[in-house]
Amino acid sequence: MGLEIHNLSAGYAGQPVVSNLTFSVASGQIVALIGLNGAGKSTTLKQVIGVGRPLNGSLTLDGQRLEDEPALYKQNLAYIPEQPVLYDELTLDEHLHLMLAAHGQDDAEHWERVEALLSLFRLDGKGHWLPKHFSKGMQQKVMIVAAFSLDAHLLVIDEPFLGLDVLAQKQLIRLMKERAEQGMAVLLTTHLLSQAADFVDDFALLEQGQLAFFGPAEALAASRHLATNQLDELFS
Amino acid sequence: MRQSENRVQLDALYQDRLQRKQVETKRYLKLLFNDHFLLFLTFAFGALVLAFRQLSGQSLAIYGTGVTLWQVLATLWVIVALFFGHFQSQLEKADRLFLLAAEGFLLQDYLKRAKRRSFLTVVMIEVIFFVLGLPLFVRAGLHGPWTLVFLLLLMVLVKVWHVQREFQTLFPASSAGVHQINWPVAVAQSEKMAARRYAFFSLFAEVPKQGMAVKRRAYLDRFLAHFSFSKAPARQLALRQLIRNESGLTLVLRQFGLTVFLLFILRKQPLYIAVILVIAFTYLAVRQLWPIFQRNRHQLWNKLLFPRGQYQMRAFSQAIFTLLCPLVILIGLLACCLFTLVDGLVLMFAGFITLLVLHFQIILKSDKLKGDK
Repeated sequence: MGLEIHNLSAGYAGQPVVSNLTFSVASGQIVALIGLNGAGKSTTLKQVIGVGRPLNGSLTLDGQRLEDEPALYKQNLAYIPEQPVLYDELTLDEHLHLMLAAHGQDDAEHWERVEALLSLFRLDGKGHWLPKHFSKGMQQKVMIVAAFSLDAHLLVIDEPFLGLDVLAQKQLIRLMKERAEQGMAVLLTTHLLSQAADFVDDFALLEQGQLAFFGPAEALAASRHLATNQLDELFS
Repeated sequence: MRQSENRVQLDALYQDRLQRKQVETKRYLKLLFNDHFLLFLTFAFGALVLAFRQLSGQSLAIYGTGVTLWQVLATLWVIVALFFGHFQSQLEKADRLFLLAAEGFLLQDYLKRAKRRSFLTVVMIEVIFFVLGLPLFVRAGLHGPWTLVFLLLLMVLVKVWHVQREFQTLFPASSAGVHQINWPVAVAQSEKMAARRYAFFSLFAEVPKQGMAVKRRAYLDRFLAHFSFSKAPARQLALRQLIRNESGLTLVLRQFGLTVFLLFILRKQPLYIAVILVIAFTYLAVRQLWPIFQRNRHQLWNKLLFPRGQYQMRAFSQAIFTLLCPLVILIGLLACCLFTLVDGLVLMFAGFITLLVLHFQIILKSDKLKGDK
């Protein structure tokens, strides 16, 4: 089970940006979607989280097709966008209550988890703050806490390390690994290939909207005649 | 290398920006002056004329001061008039980078045009305020034409002096008498002017990239604590958005104040006028709070957490109902004191019926939403 992308084509104004994508992210697996700017990573993620309309193909999460029951599909995913998106009018605590309540998980057990995450990301004691009081990095941490407070089946992260301090980056990687071990499927996009090679199971390389490669870091490096620790040279 | 045909003519830059602003303003004014708003304006103007005629025969002396209420109102009107109109440079943030090398041109040409235009605009604003305030000035005892002309000149001169001061702050002269652009202050002032304009339009229409002014209103936390996210989270979200949105709620509360004031004036008039007033207030309040929903409906989390647009729309309408109910009850209670008990109940009933009709109208609209499962 997990996420299955089958024959997906998507784009803007009828023009495909990605074509015939087929790959899957199994439960417990961490997959990184990589590629140069404009390769179609963001378009693919938009489709995966269900806010875009595909031109063709299907997305299935734990056997639930997005087009059949979008509400049920979205209930099972957690998402961390590249740029933090928050409600201007809600405090930090209210954001977390809303996120949990909308997923039917606003109970003591989940709130205990929330408090541990808030403490981990040094956000405790700021529950009554509005987004305008947070720095961009702190807003990103709110996104992370909200996503990890959920019992989701799929976690989608767009550029996870953008705007985060080094400590928060390490904590995020640890959390991703923990959740994957517990059976969560994780799909992320990143440009930091060497860093990702340490914790990602498979890379999905997009080139001009097509899936050019899918497999582990070693195989990806070998396919381009590179050592694994030279993955950052992939596009040079 | 290919040269783009869309070259920017520096000497037409101010004119281009001004024209762009005028086209944009026209577009938003069309949205503002729709049928509903014109209906309300007509009614509100009628009520004010009625109130003025009722009071115009009276001296309205304030006991023991030797001053009349007319004089107080006329002074307030002049003060309000002087708050309107500022220096409009139309500078943009990017100018600081892209036009840095053209500072000489900006000072010699662009800003001179901006200054002329700003002076012209503030003079027009003061004249309009003066003409609208004439009945008040006459009641306040300014009878002679020369006294009135003197007042007009005074208003215009004070405002022109104010704009000139703004100009000097934004573009100060060095010790050698050479003007230079104080970029951080000039850009901040220009952005502030644009933000004010957009904030006004965003009360009535969806303005792209217009951030909403949000106020925490912590004193309402106890009230909000009764509305937990566990039950109908979309409605609780909408309620917080309504309460913490500074412009929407403030406008509704001001209209509530105006309605109460007009009810006080109309207390000796036939009841149907008060009924129309309450219906108009309720109707306009719903209309003015609705853009908050339109601005938020496409927010990413709304799409993810509440994918059914129909559900979002209904939840927001319910939240508006929850917020306006206490105001309608308050109007009813005040009317019980100003009119009779029965009249108060009739007004409350009129307010609730309007709220219900609008709520069901929104539900019907939400049923027609396409693509929502």
